[in-house]
Amino acid sequence: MTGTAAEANGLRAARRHGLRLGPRGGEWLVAAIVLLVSGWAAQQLRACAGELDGAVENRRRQIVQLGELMGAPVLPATGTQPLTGLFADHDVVVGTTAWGRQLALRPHAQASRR
Amino acid sequence: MTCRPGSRGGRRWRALGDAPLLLAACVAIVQISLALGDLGASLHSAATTRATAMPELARLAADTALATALEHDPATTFARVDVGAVEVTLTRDRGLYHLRSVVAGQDTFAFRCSEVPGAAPDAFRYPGTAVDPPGGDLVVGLRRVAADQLPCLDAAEVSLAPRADQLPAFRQDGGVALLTWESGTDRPDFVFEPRRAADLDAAGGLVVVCGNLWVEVGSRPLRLALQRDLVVVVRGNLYLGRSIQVDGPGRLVLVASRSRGEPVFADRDGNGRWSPGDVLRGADAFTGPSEGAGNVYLGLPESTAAIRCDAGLVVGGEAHVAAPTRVGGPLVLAHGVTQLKPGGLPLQAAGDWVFAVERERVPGFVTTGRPRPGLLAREVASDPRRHEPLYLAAPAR
Repeated sequence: MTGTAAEANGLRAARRHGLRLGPRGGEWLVAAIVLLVSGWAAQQLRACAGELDGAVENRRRQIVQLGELMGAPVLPATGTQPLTGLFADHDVVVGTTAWGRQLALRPHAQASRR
Repeated sequence: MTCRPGSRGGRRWRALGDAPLLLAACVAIVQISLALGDLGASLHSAATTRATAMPELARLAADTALATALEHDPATTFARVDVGAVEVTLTRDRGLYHLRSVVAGQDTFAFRCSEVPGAAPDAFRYPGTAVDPPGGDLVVGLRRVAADQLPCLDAAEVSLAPRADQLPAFRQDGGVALLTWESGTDRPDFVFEPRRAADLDAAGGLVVVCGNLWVEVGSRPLRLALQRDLVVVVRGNLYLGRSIQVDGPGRLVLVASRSRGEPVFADRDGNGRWSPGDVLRGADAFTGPSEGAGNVYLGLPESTAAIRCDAGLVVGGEAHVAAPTRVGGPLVLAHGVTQLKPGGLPLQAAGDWVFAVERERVPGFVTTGRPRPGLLAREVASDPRRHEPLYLAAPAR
């Protein structure tokens, strides 16, 4: 008798005696829950990364715009807020100084009131 | 592919099926690891962007603080201003401002700037400016202005500036004009001395050439290394036979100027001198040296390649185009543009660089308005440990 046939005979005998081999239904349930939870967590992490990427891309674009503004021959009209929320709660606005228009930082609330 | 029931691989896979928890744990670990990898990459990208933004934030805060402090007290020598999360300390010492921005109590950035006497002429803000010149439609990138909006030289400053014949960076050349024009020129002719071009920085930002200035025809561009801005005022004509390449942070402005009463003419026949058929601009009769003054020749009869001029050009007379020309700095045309070869050669005001006229000075030109702080320059502190030698250079006694 080959080993495989012996194994099959053994399994049959075990079943006849009411023995149940292999994983129970509960184990499959727990495994499914683990998979679901890990899938959900991975998705949440990916969503966080996506949001972060979006914000970073937006910030990067604003920095490029800031560079363009700094190099522009003429600034927009005074009071314009070309870049909102670039630096946390501060906006970049066009202010007036004794020597002309200049880019300046204003707290978000103050810049909005203007 | 199927596994035979008795094979080793089949048994291994069946074992995984027998342990679903182990299988789920493995899959969970892989999933979470991949997601964490994505998040890590995003955080790294955010940190890089933050590192780029910090100096800009510090600079803007310093500029804002400077304006605020001087608005309250134009003579202030010390001020501490909070601009949001940035604490800026300003000190002023003999026309030099030092600013220190501390961002969120962590990163420190230092800036400095010197005081400038006023705003530079507005024309230097734009790639190209012209007083409605005849033939001006051949110039790409021009802005039309009135004659009184053209930049004016500061006579007092120009009279005190070093002369080209006193500087080793220039050489008087009696034969250069005869190589191009049959009868030469009436004024003395100067050329750049490329081997001594490094001495240009010592000129103090302004040089006056009392005569014509030539950049001879050649296959390679004339290369000048400048650490600081330089304005060369030519009291005569400027002849560019080849490209000019400026290396270094300094910028070059070439000014072809004429004295009061010297007439401007368009050298229609391109012989380099006033002759029948040439057209006077704003004068009834021609007087003075035969080659005129304030004229600029972009390309000479022998020039074959296009001219690429990294410098700014202020043409007090007529611009004569004998080769396709690209001007990188501000181009100012006080009169017309004459084409010396058929086919409408382009003259392009590319605007590769311009001056921030409100905060920068153009040496030799009249300023307007009150004195003000110049553009902020970042001071990068050197690490003292880097210069600390591991061993003494000489044995201790």
